[in-house]
Amino acid sequence: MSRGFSTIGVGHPRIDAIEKVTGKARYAADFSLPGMLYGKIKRSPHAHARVLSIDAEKALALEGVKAVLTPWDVPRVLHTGAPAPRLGSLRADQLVLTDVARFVGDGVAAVAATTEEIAEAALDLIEVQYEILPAVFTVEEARRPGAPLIHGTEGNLVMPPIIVQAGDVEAGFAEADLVLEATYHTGRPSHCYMEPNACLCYFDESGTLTIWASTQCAFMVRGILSEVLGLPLHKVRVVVKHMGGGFGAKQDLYQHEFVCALLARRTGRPVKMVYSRKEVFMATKTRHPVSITLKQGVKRDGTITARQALYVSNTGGYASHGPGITAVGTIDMTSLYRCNENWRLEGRSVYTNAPIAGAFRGYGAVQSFFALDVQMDELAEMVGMNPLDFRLKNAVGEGDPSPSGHRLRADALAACLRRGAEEVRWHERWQPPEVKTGRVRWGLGIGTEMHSSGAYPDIKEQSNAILKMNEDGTVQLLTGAADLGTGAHTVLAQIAAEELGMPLANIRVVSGDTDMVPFDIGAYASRTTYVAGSAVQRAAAELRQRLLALAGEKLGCEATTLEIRDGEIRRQGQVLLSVAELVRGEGGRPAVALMAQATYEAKVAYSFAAHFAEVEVDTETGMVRVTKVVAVHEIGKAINPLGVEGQIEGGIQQGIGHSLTEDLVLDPETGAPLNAGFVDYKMPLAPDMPEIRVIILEEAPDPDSPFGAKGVGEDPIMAIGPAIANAVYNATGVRFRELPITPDKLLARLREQGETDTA
Amino acid sequence: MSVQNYYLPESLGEALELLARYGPDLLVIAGGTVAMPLINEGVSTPVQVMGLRRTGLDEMARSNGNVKIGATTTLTRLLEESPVPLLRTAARNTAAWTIRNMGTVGGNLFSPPPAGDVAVALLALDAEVTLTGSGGERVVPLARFWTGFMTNVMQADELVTAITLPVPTGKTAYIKYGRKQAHTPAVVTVAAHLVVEGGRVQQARLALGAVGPHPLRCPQAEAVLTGSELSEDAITEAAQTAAGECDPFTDAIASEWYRRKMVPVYVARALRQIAQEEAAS
Repeated sequence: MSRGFSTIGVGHPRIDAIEKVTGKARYAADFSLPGMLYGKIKRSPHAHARVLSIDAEKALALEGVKAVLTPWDVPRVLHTGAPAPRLGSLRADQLVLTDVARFVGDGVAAVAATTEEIAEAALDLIEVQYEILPAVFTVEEARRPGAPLIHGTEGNLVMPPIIVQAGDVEAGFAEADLVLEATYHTGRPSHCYMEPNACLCYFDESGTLTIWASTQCAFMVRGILSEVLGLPLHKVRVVVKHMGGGFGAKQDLYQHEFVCALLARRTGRPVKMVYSRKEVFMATKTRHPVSITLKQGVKRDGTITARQALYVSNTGGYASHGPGITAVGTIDMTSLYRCNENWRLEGRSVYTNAPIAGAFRGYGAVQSFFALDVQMDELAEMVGMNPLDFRLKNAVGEGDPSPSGHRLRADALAACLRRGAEEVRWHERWQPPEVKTGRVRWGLGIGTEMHSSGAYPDIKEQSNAILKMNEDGTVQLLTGAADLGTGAHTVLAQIAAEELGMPLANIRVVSGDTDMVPFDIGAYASRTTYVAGSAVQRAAAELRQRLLALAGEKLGCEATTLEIRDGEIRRQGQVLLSVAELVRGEGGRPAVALMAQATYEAKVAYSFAAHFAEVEVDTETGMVRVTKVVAVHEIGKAINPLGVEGQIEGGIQQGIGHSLTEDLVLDPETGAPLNAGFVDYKMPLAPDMPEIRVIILEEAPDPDSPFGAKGVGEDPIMAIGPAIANAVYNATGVRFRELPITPDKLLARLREQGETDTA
Repeated sequence: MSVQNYYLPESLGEALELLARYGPDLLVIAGGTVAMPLINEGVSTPVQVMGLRRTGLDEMARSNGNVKIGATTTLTRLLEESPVPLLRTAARNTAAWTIRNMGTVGGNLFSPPPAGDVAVALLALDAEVTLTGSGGERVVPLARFWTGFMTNVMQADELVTAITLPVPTGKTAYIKYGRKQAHTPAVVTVAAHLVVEGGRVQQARLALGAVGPHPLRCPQAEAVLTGSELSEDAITEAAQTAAGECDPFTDAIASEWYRRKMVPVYVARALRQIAQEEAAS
């Protein structure tokens, strides 16, 4: 089909932009009910401690306090925080309220009171006796013989090591002219979504729980609440209105969702809970700090002969997505650059008493690609090749294996590298670090990535959509996919409008109420456009067929001779009647009910990117300024180019933060976060942002996706980190195998390297 | 939250009466931008709180070569209306608009390091603090106001009511070095005021923020500069001397080691700015 598009491929402002920017859009914390109470969680000040007893007498005596819950008052159901249906690799290791605190901020009791202030005051009156246990915060400490066992597992391993192997690694290394082995470390950034975790719970007269929540996965919240609270699924209703971000952290449930429902049940009143920013920092999720020991062999002609890696993630006090990100991070090291299909990769996830690490944009692969792409720079230098040429020689392409097991369909990564190199005039401007002089030095570096749209085969992806035609020609699009601030609903509406031949304004997206919308597994893994979008497209195609059949009947002609464009039924370009005229009731009879439903179970498509970062390093201070980023992304088809650019720019901004300024720093003695607030946890703001040139390639559309579109949500954060680290090396000759690159560390390394103390 | 009473006196007299009544049990705030986050997080648990925002202590006036700034003058007003450019620069480098709209000049003297970026500029400008108590007013040089981390020379019955400084006669420079371009705690803040006549430095004032328990003057570095021709050698020597006069700390923004390394770098950069301006004039 080669007709021009009317709605997709054009930048559309978000369909919910006006309500958001005027402050009218309602988020979970904006909902209130008459007689509502406020809930709060009492959190452990110790990183590892057994709760011996809890005395709630004084708290209960405080006027306005309606209930106190302790670990012994709540269902003792071990559960995972993460999605249902389950992966075998997830660990059920969490309790609603714990009698063994495993990180600073673990919830041990909860209170409901008539005001937030009273609830807070009551927390101070709850007396908890602890037996303090020895605590460990790093993987090294946790793996040491005799270390305290956090969940009783051997060596504090969350699960048996993940082993991925192919070919013959030893033969590959033997064949190499040069072998490099090095260890790479990544930091502990926090998600920093604008909207703190919040919920409102209420049981109606039928015993049905309604929870207004801020979650990426409403049906997962329904499933786990049902399991822990012992309620059938049809008596749990999850409502998600607008969301102020999630970045993966809102794929998990937190203690407040269970506690809030239990407090509502206990008191018979609606209960609201809203986390403070400090609670969000200490008691939700971070990215997994990971160490990767990576060994690769290379021939003098630039051929990589083998790859071996040990990937170790610090998952903190609970498993959460530790097994998932470790699996993805490990298997993704089979990708990006070829290594003669000789690899031996091992992934481990380790419990510590650090804050819980969870899903975060880039899901384990960010860490792997940092190691891989920094080492690509190192190998290029070892064999005396230009880093661009070395990457082009080894970039995966058509026919190469992908982590999902599918063979890749195009040479898209090389296309991204070539287009970016042309844009930055690489061969003209790139020079090795040895020639750089002066106080402020300029550097240029490359980072690359590839990422699947959806989590198949690890998760059996499924989305559904229902389209309902109204008698005035407007349409309700019912989807279970959340829009966590990505613009996903705008994209879904565009897909429906395009496929139906209707104006975008005629589509209204109805979402986020599990009583009304069909099942969706959730908004994560860069899957919404690809998987939920496919379900929408299929439902819209079916509805279009039914409209055309109805029109054919009415006009007395073959439906196949008709088409719908701009909301009108046409034959050979001639307008015959409008869709509104077609569907309205006639002769006092109501209109025919026109609905279509579709299910889509995705396989997998890969998006690719190459980022070219330019930096200026002040060698007197170690300060790195990113001055320009050229970001080339192959995403098949941009449904909403405006939204795609927003995703890419946002990912780069977040990635610059993770590379240079953002890190949740723990007190080495207590394990408490030292910067659990925006005063000293620093995200880059507008003045810190470089010029960004986004280039969207649409050379490798996916045959199974809506109009060829692939995911873009996570991709931009994955390439920027190594691009910056490689640019810093290019500017200074200082090789960073860790993130973040703070001026502290860079200055120390410059001094070691013998840069003179100029001041 | 522990606060039981919040007083908003309508005059200085009323404020002093409340202070006399409750003494150290009364937490005094102006904008509340430092105190309220601590109270909200339960770190600070005052029972009685007094806000000064209605006491009329927000006059900013210039007379006889002095500028007198009322203690509750907001940082936004300082940014927009101060006759001293250095103070406008310092205010612009302090926090964000929302905080500057609430935070006050007097309150900035009580902002624990690495905060207190306006106080650093005031210190380089030889500001004096007017303390008013039940026994009347007294004036203390800002350089002698602080005695340690979050401690000062004030009596329990006193309030900071004004800050007075001579309009600077020389050239000034102010650099706040943070990990980001804006809205960030300092690694180090440098404020300098040099009077140069006949090619020689007649008077040197150098103040540092975020590298000690409170904003610091650098008397030895000032002595190096005084009488010098502000040559690159003098600048380098003064910068190195200043590094020996600070007492930095480690936090999530920077290590003690790094802060100490950055003191000479940024002192030199601030002094070079002045030297360049001198050369151009």
